[in-house]
Amino acid sequence: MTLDARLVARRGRFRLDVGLTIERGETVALLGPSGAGKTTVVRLLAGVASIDDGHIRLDGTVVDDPATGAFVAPHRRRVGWVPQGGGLFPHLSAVHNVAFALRARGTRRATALASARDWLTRVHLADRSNDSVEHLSGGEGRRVAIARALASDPALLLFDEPFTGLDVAARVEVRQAVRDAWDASDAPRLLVAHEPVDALSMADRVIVIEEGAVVQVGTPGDLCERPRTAYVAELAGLNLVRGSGGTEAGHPVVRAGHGEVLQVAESVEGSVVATFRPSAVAVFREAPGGSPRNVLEGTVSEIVPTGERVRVRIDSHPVVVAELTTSAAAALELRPGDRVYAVVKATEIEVRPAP
Amino acid sequence: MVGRKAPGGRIPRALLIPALVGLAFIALPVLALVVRAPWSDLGTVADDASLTTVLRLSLVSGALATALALATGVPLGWLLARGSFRGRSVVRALALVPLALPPVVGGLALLLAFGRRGLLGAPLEDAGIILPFTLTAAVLAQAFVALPFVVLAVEAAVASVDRDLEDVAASLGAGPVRVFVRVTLPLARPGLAAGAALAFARALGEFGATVTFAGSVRGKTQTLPLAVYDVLQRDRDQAVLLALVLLALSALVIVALRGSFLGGGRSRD
Repeated sequence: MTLDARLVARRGRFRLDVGLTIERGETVALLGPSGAGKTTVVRLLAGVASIDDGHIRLDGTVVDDPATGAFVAPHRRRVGWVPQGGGLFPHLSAVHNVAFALRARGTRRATALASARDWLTRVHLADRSNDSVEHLSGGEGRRVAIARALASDPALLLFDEPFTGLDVAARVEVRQAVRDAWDASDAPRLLVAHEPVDALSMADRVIVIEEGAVVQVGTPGDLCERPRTAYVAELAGLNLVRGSGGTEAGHPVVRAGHGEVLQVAESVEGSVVATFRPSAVAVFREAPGGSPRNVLEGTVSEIVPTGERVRVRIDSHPVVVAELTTSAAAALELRPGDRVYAVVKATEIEVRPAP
Repeated sequence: MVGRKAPGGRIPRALLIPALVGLAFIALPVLALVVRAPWSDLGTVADDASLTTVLRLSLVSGALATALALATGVPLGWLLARGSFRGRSVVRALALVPLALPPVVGGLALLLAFGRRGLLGAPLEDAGIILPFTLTAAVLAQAFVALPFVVLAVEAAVASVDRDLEDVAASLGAGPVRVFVRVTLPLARPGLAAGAALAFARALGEFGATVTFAGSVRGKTQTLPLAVYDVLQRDRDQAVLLALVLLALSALVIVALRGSFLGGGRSRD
């Protein structure tokens, strides 16, 4: 079982063009900011929307291809879809929600109900079988939705933000249910995630899309170490600057988009990405001297405590995130709106050729 | 209840007085019907075999008309809510014509379409089917005026059903018909029930279209409203008693409606 797709779809001014393949038993996470087109990808694969160009092949069968006019309706595609929010039928009990998948595929009523109870037992909800789904908690609802998707004997699993909107305890139980679901099926799996932690911890590969296009594909490790866009860098907790590499006065530099020049340690010619850790950024109220350092002036736009440290977002050109110790942040008495200087040593900046 | 006072606010007299006038305008004639009814004669009417016939005709034709309106109005309402086709506003406008048309005109139009020399009536007569002045004609006349209530209610109810649920149902293997029957219809049920009740009430009270297209043939097409009018020419007291029967039926429909939408919200559990 494999998925091979190139999805091209136009929605007004928005254009989606995403290629993806998922092998049998492989989990691919689809990451991207809001409005990137993640749910559109899911809907196209499920067949509740059709592509304008490209193709979708599932297990070697073409299920959508505008060039040949081939289109397999959603109810014949065998896609196990857990939509955002779960998509449970509010007029049915938990067991009837799951049995719906079996009944729709022609299973007899009694068999379907017995099988649905088995599926609910697997997600530890046997005792809630007869409850109306409107009386289930958020986490329980998602688990019913997962059981229902699996019960339809899918050739492809699509989980659209299964953890969004849940509290921490519910996330833990739903995460376990998702892992169990992975184990119960060797279908290709697409996990749409808004939170990078889920994508990075559960996926074999990650596809990042922005504004309808793939910006990076790789293992979770690749993404963290070599982010290609500011969004991916932010996911990985890094600062990222795109620019062109060169030398000025004999020193290697990166010229960023707005004309700013970053002093760097190693010379890489051509189009480059420069990354540096937020913890490598120092923050000052007065412009510091010394060399060879990069000084970026900007306004504090966000201060987020993260345990023992504080992340400070500074709207300079380019935008940088600094990570300070709580005591250092307290000494600076930072407030949003303050003018500050972010300082990065040239040796802290890693420069790589842009992809 | 006229309405609860908004917190810290008062109902302005300029609104309250006309509201009460409106309420009285509805309540007074109903009250008059009840007060002025010759209750002592009730026994004689209850025994009257013709009343049983009229009542049965009314209920049977009303139920058949409602069924007909549902059978065609539900798909039509669904089409208007879910279909994306050109001329949808024209279809909607057409579906609402019987609502705006005076019933007598509707009856005349039915006669010209299905009458013995009508557009469709002539070929039907050749086939041996004669509609005017039959029970079928009464049912058709009532369905004609009741249909818009079903279409409007179903369109609104289906439009309020979350499309994602229909999409999920399809992905789970349900074909379009199964999605409609198992997901859309149950979720649209409150609105559907309201539409059916309103359609039945309208069919039950139908006069103009019925009298024009089906006539007022005693024991054949004479429904309650027609009987009330007929008897009124000769015996006002009897007419009032018949009217009370209609009033009771209307009250029943209103009670049935209360559960579906007058009370607000769904009536599950």
